[in-house]
Amino acid sequence: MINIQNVSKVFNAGRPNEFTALLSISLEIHLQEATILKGPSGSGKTTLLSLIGCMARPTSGRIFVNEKEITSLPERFLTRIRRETFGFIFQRFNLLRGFSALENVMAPAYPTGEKYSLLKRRALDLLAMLDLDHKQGAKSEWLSGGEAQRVAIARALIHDPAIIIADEPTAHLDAKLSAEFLSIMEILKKEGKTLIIASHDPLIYDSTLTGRIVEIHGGELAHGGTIA
Amino acid sequence: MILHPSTIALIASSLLICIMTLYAAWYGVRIVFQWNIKSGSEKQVLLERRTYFTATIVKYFLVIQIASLFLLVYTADSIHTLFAGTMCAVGTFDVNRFGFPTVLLKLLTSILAGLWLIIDHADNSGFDYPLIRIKYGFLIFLAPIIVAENVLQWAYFSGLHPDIITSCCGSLFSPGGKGAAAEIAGLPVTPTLIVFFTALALTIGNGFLFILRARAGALFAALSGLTGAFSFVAIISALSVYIYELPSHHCPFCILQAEYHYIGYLLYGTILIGLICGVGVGILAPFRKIPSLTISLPIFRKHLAEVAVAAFIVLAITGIVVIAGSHYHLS
Repeated sequence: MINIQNVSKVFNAGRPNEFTALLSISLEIHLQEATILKGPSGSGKTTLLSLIGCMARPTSGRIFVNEKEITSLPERFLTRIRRETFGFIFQRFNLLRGFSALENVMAPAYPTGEKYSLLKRRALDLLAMLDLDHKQGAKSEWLSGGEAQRVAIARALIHDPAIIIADEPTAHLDAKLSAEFLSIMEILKKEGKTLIIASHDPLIYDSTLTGRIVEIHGGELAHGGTIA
Repeated sequence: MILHPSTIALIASSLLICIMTLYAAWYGVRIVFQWNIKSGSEKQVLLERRTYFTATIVKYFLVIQIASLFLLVYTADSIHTLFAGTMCAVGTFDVNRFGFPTVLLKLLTSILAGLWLIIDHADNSGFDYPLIRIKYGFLIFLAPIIVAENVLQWAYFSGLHPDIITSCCGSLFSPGGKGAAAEIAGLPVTPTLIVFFTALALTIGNGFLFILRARAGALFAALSGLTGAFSFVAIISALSVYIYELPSHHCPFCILQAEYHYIGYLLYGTILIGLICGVGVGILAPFRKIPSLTISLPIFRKHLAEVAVAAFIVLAITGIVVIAGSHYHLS
């Protein structure tokens, strides 16, 4: 269970350009389910994802993952949780230019000091699972949108995280590639992964994947979170 | 005032350390009274963010504080030629009444800074800020001492004028003189050496007991503190005569000069490391049962003991080499 308690996030607090991205959000996200954060651009979906994924800290409030409080943790402990618990799929994929697909998948695991041969084997298995083994040596800028998306998914899975966080994953994909993404997410869900996806794409929140839809407007929960 | 590069560096660094410590102490007051890890309030989250930043800066400044002790001694030694009648740093410190209080207070603040760094490291190894109140409480205690040292140091440097006639170390650390320095210098050599090496052997032995069996940590800390303190006495009263090869010369500062191969820095450095790390083992003992520290603290205390034991072994070997290699022999 991910328990979000009264979380607010204010950017540039106390300055003329102060902006409240999230206001007193309280929410429970069940594990091994797919939860969709739905809302228009600027509603606070990405901010909430970044707080859940320990990439930013709230201005106030607490977040618990499996009853362990994560928002007060010093940075060196957060790094470990971020690495072991969460896998991130970004809107623009954020692949490293000039590096091959295989290197991009392996990169997040380099700091762990894992034996190179074992890590490479795991990365190749992931690429094979996503039908990308033939593209392992291709540089990231040579990949098509769909291929780049799948490399980003493989990279998110390199630590075998329990929770996958995806921010507008279909924003740059056509309908066919979006459907392909959803089918991959279905497989991951069946494997017991928790999926938290921010999206305003009907393809996502109308899909069979979705377990729960949480609507956010203007940094606040609409109707306290709607069950799909 | 004498504008020597080292005095400027000392004044500037001390001022920065003073300002930063005062800021951190002021922040520490808020931590001590307002810290509540269970709260998700904006105030608490802000404290959590700032403590990481503040502690990191203070940590680097306190490392500089320890280094500044050696820089002060080096500076006093390097400018002693400006004052009539001096042979080493002793004369420079004796130029005015603030010299020796400054160096003694800097020694104290360096030891306290070392202990704070140990507590800070232990606190950082726990995920829930287990020693945060103690860490900042210690800083609140340390801040006025650092301010006092800063004021004394300024008074000392501003009172330094060339060609002041001052005392030579031979007159201050003479067994026939008056005062604490003369009394220490007048201690009998052989009994002092016996106590010195016995204390070192006991501390090292106890250190190994703690490293191998994790037992008698408090005793090791007490022994480290006492042995460290007595080592200063032993250098003045006993080891010095072997280094200088003169029965009447007991200066604790001439040994920092090139003609004695800067051996004083090795002796004082090992004493300081042994004392701080050894006492650190004891200071952390009450916190070993805090749940978030049960794994990391025993490892850290063991490392501290290893460093302290290594420092005391180097000190003992240096002492033996000094005595064995000296042309001076007790009749």
